Amino acid sequence: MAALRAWIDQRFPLTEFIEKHLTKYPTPRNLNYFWNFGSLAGTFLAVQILTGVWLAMFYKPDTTLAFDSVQHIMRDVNYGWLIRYLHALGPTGFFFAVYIHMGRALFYGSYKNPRELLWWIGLAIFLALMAEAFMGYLLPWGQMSYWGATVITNLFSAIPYIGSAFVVWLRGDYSVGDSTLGRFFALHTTLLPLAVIGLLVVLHLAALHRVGSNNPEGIDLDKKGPAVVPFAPYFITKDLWFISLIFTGYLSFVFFSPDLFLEPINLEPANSLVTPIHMTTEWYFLPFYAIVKSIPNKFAGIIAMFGAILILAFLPYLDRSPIRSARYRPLKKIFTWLFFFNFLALGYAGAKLPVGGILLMGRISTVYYFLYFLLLLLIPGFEKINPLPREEQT
Amino acid sequence: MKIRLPSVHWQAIAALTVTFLFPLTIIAAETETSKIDLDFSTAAVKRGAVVFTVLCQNCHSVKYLGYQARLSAKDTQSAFGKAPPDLSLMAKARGRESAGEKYIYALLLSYDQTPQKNSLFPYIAMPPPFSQDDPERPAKAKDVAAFLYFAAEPAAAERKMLGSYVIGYMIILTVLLYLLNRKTWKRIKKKSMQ
Amino acid sequence: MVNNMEDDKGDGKIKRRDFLTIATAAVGVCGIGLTAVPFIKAMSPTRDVIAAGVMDIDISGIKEGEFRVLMWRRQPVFILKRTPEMISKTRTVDMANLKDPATQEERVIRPDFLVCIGICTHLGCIPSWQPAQIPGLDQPGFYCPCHGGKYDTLGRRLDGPPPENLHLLPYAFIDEKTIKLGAETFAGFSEDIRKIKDLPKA
Repeated sequence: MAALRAWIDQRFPLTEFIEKHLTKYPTPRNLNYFWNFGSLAGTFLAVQILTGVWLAMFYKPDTTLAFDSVQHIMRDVNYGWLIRYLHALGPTGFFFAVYIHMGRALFYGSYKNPRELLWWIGLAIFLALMAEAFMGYLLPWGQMSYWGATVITNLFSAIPYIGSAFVVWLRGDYSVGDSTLGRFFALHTTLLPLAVIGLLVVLHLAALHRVGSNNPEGIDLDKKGPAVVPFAPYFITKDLWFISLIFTGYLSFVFFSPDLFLEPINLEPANSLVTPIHMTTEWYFLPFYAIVKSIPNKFAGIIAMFGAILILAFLPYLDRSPIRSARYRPLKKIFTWLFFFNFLALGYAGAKLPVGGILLMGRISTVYYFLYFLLLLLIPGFEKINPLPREEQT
Repeated sequence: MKIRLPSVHWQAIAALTVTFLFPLTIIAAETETSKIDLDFSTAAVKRGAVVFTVLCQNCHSVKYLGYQARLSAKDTQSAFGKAPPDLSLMAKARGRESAGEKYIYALLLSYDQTPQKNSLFPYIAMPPPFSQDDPERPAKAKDVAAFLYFAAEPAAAERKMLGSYVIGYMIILTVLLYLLNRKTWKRIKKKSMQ
Repeated sequence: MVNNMEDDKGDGKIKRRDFLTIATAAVGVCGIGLTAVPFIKAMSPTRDVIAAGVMDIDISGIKEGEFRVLMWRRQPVFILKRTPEMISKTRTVDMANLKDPATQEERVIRPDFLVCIGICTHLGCIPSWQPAQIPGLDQPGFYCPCHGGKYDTLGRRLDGPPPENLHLLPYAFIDEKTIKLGAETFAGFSEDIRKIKDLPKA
């Protein structure tokens, strides 16, 4: 075994790479559990790819066959129901991990110098993930698949001058149809997984390893920062047990209540003549859906929706405080916690009809969402920093 | 201005509690809780299949189980105004978990007040499936609902059975991994206290 | 609690930590193995394919001497209603002359019906039915156009390159009008069964 490894190492940086980037990789000792959500997201990515490949063995990307092929998987393919439920509930786990992962970055200032590029690559992964989930949802060709795709692609028609033509180009037809299904299937199973894994996650990890992990104190390792330990075994065991915990929850949903995450109306085959009474989207899109519904003008709504994600890219330049972690910035701490609860409120508003109290709440929440970034820009001017730790943290 | 906040561990616990409580509360609020006593047994499903073939299969198909409607959709559409939908997934399409089954049960029995029109769902085109003086109506409705619930997901029983083993295994694995992690970290925590 | 973390301390402490690691690893590996099972099984034939392996064939209209071909699991199946002349002719064949000896009882359930897979055992072509006589022989049977293989009305190899008799598949007479063909997990030609007694139940 050792001889084989030596033979490979002469020709390929195997042991060198594994030691440098995995087993001996220096990691701050004081990382808390909010640092577990990156590896958790990666695990959900692996689950989606594995189950996705298997589903693609049986799924038929044709509007007359798609719905039936999903039922074929559920009823005829051995353990097809299991593979399907794993894949359908996977995005919930994935976005759960990704949102907390991003929240960690917001709270502890992981987007700040020298991690700006890491942050932007992460945002690219987030965008690719949303596109991937959106396209995947069309594939079962249920009522919500069809109408959700219709509504969201229709949003682009608000772009001045080129809007309508763009929508036709996007769909490949004048309404969502076979052309749309075919291209969404191709992109969902080939380009986006390749782009997300092959390129972006690898780049994300490379950028991380160039600068090292942030830590809850926000202090650089070479200043009075925390001690480091090798990644193995400490963070391997920590990652593994936490993933196992979350997967216990995920699998209990898969086996005991998968219906909670499947929209009932999507169990009716797509009907282009009947629109569902309650249009909704998957829970992870609800906050952005709420932002769109809060703004009366269609074009402004789209700008706001994309702006809500785009503004995140400016965070490294909006937050000019030299202190990274909100642990030492009481004002940022409060505003950031408010931002997290506000995001939940936006999600709630997104699930309801935009009328009366819900509409008001959605609008207030949308305003606070953007206000938060302005606040980040302003508070370094007058906030009082808590004294930073003088000794090495344990 | 100095604000006293609880330690970050309490914040984390609060955060995770809210993150889990929030969706669970929403789900609980939206869950169907009417007091209809349902039957999920295999016997009910078998009886329901018989009731289906006798009373429903004239108009409705359950194609994923191989039941074709006896009359063509065109004929029933011209007779009643709307084509009768396939019922393979109806129990799931009308509600999550058992809510769909309850929906079907309630629908079948809501022809009481105005016999030719459904009082719960006045806009549907379906005529009453049972005759008014059939004393077995509630039993038949329950059995058909059980049959359609089965038709919507035949693998449900296997799923739940496997689930018990899988979750049991996952709990064991999680505990073992947790203990292993604690043991691993004790090493450093000990060192740092010396 | 006694410090049990140093690597060079007493045996008992190391054993406990190693035991935990080994136990966890064992449980984990079992889990990975068990997880692989549904994915491997998912690639096996689906339930509808297996169910399609059993077919009911209506034989009420078949006349004496009539030959039919039908598709079963994408393989041709021969059904031949044998005349009394055919039955007596095949009885006269000397077992010693057959490359793949088999009696009538070993080849068919009922003397008047041949049910077999119509794929030549040489290189897989479909033999053609010769109701009057096989070229060069004084009896009806099957003649394979590809390389000249010859079979009698029991599907037994008489002449030519084929090494074996035509292969059999499970079948049963439900009643006078129906034959049930196939069994759920019977693959067909590749099972290489040429005697009735070796067949699984239909």
